[in-house]
Amino acid sequence: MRLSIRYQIILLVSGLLLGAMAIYLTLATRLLSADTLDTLKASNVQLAATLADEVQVNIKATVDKLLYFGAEQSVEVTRPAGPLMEADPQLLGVEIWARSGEGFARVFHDESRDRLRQLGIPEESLDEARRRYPLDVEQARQAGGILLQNASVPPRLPLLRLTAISPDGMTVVVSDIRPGRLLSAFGHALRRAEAYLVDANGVVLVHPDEGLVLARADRSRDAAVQPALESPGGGGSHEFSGPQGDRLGAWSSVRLGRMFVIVEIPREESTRGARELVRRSVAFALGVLALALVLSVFFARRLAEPLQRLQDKMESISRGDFGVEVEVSSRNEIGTLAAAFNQMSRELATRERALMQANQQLIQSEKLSALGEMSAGLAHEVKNPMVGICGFSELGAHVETLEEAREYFALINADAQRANEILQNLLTFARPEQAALTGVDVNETVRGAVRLVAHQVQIGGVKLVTSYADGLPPVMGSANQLRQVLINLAMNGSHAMDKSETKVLTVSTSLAPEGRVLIEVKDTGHGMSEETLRKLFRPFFTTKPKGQGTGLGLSVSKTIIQQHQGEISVKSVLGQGTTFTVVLPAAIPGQRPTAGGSVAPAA
Amino acid sequence: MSTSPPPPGTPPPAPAGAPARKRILAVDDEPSARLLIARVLQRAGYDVTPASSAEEALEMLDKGKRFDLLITDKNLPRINGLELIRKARQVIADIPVVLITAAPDAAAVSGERLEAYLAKPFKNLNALEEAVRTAFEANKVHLARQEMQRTLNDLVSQLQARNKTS
Repeated sequence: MRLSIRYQIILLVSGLLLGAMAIYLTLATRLLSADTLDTLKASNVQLAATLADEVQVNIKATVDKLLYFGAEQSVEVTRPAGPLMEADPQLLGVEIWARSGEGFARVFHDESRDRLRQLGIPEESLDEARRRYPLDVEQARQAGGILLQNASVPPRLPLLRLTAISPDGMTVVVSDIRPGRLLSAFGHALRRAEAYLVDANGVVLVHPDEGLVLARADRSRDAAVQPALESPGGGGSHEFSGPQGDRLGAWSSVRLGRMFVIVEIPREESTRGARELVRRSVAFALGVLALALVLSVFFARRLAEPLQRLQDKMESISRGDFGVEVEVSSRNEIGTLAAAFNQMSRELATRERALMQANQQLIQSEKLSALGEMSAGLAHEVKNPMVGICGFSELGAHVETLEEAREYFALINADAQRANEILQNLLTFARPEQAALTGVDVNETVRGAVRLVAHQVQIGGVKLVTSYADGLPPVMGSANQLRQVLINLAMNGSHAMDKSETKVLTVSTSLAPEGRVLIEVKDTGHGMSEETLRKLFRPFFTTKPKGQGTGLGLSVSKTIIQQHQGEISVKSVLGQGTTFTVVLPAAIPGQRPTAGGSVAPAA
Repeated sequence: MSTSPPPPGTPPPAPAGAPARKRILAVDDEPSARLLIARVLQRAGYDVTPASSAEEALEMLDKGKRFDLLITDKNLPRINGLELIRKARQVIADIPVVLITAAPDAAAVSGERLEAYLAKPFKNLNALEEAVRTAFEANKVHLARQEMQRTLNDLVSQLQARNKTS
């Protein structure tokens, strides 16, 4: 199936749009992803560093406060920790240890038991924590004087113990802090980014997921944490594959104590922007495409509609309705086309008229040529009654009775009538066509033609056989032109039998299928070769010696039959004879043949 | 078709030197020409039998009817005049013939012996009678010549025989 112009345009527009969108999206996504990956890594590092700073500032402030408190307590031991506790809602307890001999002894401790109760944490939990994670001055010293430990006691108490050694090394202050104190800093982490704090052993200190803190989750083997633990300090970033898929990680060490802020984020975050871009671009592209389709349908219709009109007119021209014009409404190419079409249509009409005239002249001259050929026969035909007229009139001069004279007069009259009839028939045939488009009685026409050629045919010793079918419908056209065709066929047939032994020319009419009328002219002549049959209806083709035939007879006959909407065909067997068959459509009211429509000027 | 009676008021003059009336077979497919020929020749004292076609004429000959002269139109349907003459002479070898034709030359080419020609339409009715008379005369000459030829041939053969024996 071939696509109409309209669909071709639509397909082209859609294809172009989709192609352009696809290329644009591929390029944009690639650029954007590469860019965001770098940005994301940088911002991860930045975030880790910032968080590390915050943690450091926070711890530093707390440590300063505690050391100050501790220093005061060592001077004036009785001071309660109440105000300190109140100032810091995340502070659950505080202990002060002073050097005593080789070791340290707890010189002060205070707990915010109300706060524990409020939080629904059993008081024993705190004691349990202190028991589990006793003061370890050596470890704190190794960590640089400040040690933050996860001292959580499941299931209720998430707890950090912050151990700080005073600068003189005489006092050690240990505080029990809720992780939430540091957690606030991590709350601002990037969306979808996971940020947390681990100690030097990879144990989670602060994590937005309190469960992990409570469980003292060991992240030392975690791909996100490992590089941090192995690094000498500072910060860095890395990409890794974890149980949660491809991720981007960054770490930063906190300068107080040995702790690391870890930030990790799904790697796909880097393509989030690009994916968003793709999503919106596709939506946009589909929107544009839909609009383009609607527009192309509209424009294609506007383009196709005048073309359709043009096509209709062309079809009517091809049906022979020359001279039709199409309305020129637009000034674009279609308008130009329509104007050119109209020009062509007018020219066709003019040429058709000229052709018709030429055709009529040709038919007329061919008719005269046929008359010339028949002249001997016609002369004989006229001479026959002349024998009677001359003879009986002379015989009449010697009659003795009136009765005898009357007989001769009657004979003379009959012969004169006959001669007149022959001449009239001849004149009718020879006269140029007078625009006679009538219902034609086929049998009558064939009889007329046979009468005209009968003598000529019989001169050559040909037996003429005719058979006429009854009840034939009339055909529309020109009786004279049809007669001309039959005379031509009959003369050709009789010529073909010049040298034949059997000389029978059969002219018959019959009813053909579909209510058409069939006329057959059959001879028993020499037949025709394939070569001759092929060229038979061509103008100027003749098998007769030079000067004896115009070569136009059959060509003109074919033209006439075609003008009658009929068909002429030929069958021939070499040495056996030739049959010409003419089929003419019946004159049905409303079906107008175009034959002989115009009057040929008398040449 | 039978012999038409002589036209009324026309005395049948007996041809000179012949006790019986000469029988003429007139063939023409044109009814008025046929009638005219018959009338004119009957007036001239001949016994005329008209025929409308070569077939009809040949049928009469086949049935044993005998004629002294054949007058025929050259253009006859189916079997033309020349053909008829040829076939007629197979029955009556020396029958004289008048051929009605517009082109005597074309007919002469046929090789058939023709005693007289006649053009249509006839110049006058005398021309018709003249042609018939000419044909009979020509036939007499033809027969005489044949007779003389035969006599000559006899003499030649007798001479040859005598020469052999001597």
